[in-house]
Amino acid sequence: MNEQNNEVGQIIGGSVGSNILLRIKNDSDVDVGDILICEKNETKYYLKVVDIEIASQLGSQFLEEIAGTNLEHNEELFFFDEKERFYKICRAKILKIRSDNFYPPRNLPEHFDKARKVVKDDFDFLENKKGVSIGYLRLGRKELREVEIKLPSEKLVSHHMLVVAATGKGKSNFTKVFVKGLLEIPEVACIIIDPHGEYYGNKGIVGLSSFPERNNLLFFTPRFSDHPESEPLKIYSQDIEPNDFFGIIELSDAQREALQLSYKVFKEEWLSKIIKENVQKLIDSFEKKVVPGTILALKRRLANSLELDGDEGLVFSLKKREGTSIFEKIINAVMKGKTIIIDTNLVGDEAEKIISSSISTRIFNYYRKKKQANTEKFANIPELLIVFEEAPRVLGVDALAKGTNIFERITREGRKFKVGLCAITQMPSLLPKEILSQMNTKVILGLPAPADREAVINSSTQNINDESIEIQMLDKGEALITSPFIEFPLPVRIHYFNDLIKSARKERKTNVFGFG
Amino acid sequence: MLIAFKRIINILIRQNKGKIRVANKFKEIKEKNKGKIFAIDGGSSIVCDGGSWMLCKIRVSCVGYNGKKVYEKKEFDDSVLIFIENNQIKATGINANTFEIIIKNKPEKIKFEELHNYVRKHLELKTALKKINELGRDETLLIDGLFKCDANENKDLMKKLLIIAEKKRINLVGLAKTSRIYTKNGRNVMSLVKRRADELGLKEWVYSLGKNEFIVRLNKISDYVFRMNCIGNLKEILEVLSFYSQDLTIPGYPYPLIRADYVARISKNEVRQEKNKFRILLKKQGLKDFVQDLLSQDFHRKLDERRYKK
Repeated sequence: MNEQNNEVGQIIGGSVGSNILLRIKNDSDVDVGDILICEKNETKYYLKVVDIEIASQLGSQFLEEIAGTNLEHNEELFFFDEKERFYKICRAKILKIRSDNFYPPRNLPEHFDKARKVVKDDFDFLENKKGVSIGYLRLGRKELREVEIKLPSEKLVSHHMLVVAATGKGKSNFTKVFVKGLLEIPEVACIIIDPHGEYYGNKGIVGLSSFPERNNLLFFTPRFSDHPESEPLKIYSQDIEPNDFFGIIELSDAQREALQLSYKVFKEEWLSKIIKENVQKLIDSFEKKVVPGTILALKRRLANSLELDGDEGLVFSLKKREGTSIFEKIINAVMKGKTIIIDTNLVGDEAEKIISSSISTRIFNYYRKKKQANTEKFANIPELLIVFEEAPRVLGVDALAKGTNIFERITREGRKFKVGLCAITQMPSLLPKEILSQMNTKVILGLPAPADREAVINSSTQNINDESIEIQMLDKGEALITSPFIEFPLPVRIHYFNDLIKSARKERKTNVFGFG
Repeated sequence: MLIAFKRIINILIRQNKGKIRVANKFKEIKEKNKGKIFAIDGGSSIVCDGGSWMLCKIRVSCVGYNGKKVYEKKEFDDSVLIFIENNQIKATGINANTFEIIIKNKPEKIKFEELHNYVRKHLELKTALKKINELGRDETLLIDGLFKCDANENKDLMKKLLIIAEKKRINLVGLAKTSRIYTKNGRNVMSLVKRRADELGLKEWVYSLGKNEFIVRLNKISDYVFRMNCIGNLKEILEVLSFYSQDLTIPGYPYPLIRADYVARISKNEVRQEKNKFRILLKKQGLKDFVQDLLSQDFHRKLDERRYKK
């Protein structure tokens, strides 16, 4: 497109500390969220439209009078020089200034410098980036399909991600798109805790299993008989440790001590003993250090949390395991850079937290030990991303009041051990500030609640204070992404997962017929 | 206070007693026509008043419309020095060779602070003369104010303008924003005519006051009527004016004149900047006498700055 025809406005004021003001050319179709370029002597100012207001050369009092005249006598009246007298002014923030390199906005364009819409060449710096394609550059409501946005997954995975959006704005779609991309990258493994049974795919639900890269998927589900390629989600009591419950279910100090004592006395039988053994025998085994009330409460509490019906529950079992433990299987798959989906759709909230906590604990400890054992070998193992929905359940202020847990530990220490979290939530305001600021990459889809917006904005690594209106207005599939690994907060139109499947199928068909 | 007002109101009531019959010399404007029109207006402001000399900023604009499309815009923009020499008032543009005029009226017969208006009018008429030579038959030239001029040299220019307009069959219109026209008993003629038109249920109309002299109402929703001078095809003039008087911001007044006024208007900011530039120049040149001239005339500003709060 001719750059001159692309001109949409002229600078009329502004300051480095606040925003740039531009008068917008009539009919130029500029939206909040649009990126404009102001170019002068090899220097490009990347401007992001953060607000638009209507303006005129007439005083506001007079405008009311005109509106009245128009409403009451509109048959024959009109405006001369309408475009000159009535117009729009937009406030834009300078994202970055680019000459040879990008540098922060410490300078301003000048009066009457012209601003134009972006073209593909303005984003040449994104072209050769490796990573996961998540969508196209979004310009307000529209998109620039020539500019594909890729997230540098290998860098950002261990620095944690936060995916925030109100219901129906596309959290799961984004996560599916992102994880689909990870399937193609052997250097990154992924574990998804899937409470809604939507990631793998099932009858009527398209999921990651619809792609040719499904060989890189491992699916653990309690309904393994329904899925021939899946593995049973079965966790045996001998593989569970007291720590798996700490910070996950509410326990008194006495109960915590009793659990630890049981582990010390019975080793890997600690859980089945405490649930199945006679109370008096337990008191004797614990040398009367635990009172009967605590044991009785624990029996109830643990059996309920693990959803046991006798010796066996949907996921947990007090029976003796035969063969390899689920944790080992997961670790092996992770080391091969695979993506593991844990289907917790049929289990309750506490059981799900125990499943995710125990898996995360084992894998995190494995990574830690690997690093301690051999730093060189550690460098070659895949980065790991643990994805879990409804993050406030384990990372929220209320959840952490029960005590610290593995997820909180991963947010603090995971980076050193190549383990990152991808926390998904619709209420980021429930997460503590410290946790939010550890989530270096934030994928922000529409957030109408002011408290949630404020929480995300205040904890972002890049300044997005001016983007509050844009975040509020983001429509389904529209995102704003901030990350220390991208030059400036990027507005993105996320790929629609179902479209990716369609194009993958089309590609497969073409290949089958030999036209590929 | 109320009693004092009552007394004033009584005088006004007494003056307006009795019904005056306004002759039915109305013609309704029934059609609108978007013909080509040019409007000329000027703006002027005193930058520095030295008592016996004066520096003014004057701008004259000429704006053309053909329907809703801006046809042309032209501006005369200069600072003008007005001074007295050999018992004659002279005016000259700051930029060399722009113009120089001698106002024939004797200095003692003219209010000095009004002089810039004479000069502005002079420049407006000069612009109109230039423009009218470029216009074709049946096109309309609209100037601000009636055809009557105070200064002799402006009268000459106006005469020339009228002759050319008549000869080239160009519609020449002068529209007065403010106008006083009253009966021997002090009744407001404009108001009487408007009231009569309302009684007759007329919407957009013209009322003849005499040869080439009219009162017009150019839009039915406007409360304002204007005094107008014109030569040319009256029907065509009224249709064109009526079309251009439909702008929502000020219905009833031709938009090209609004635009011309906007372009020509001198802002306070411009005056301030010009004043500062001129004073700095005087000081740099060591012309203390002239600075003293200014101080002797500029006490108003000082008083404004330090006056009691009101």
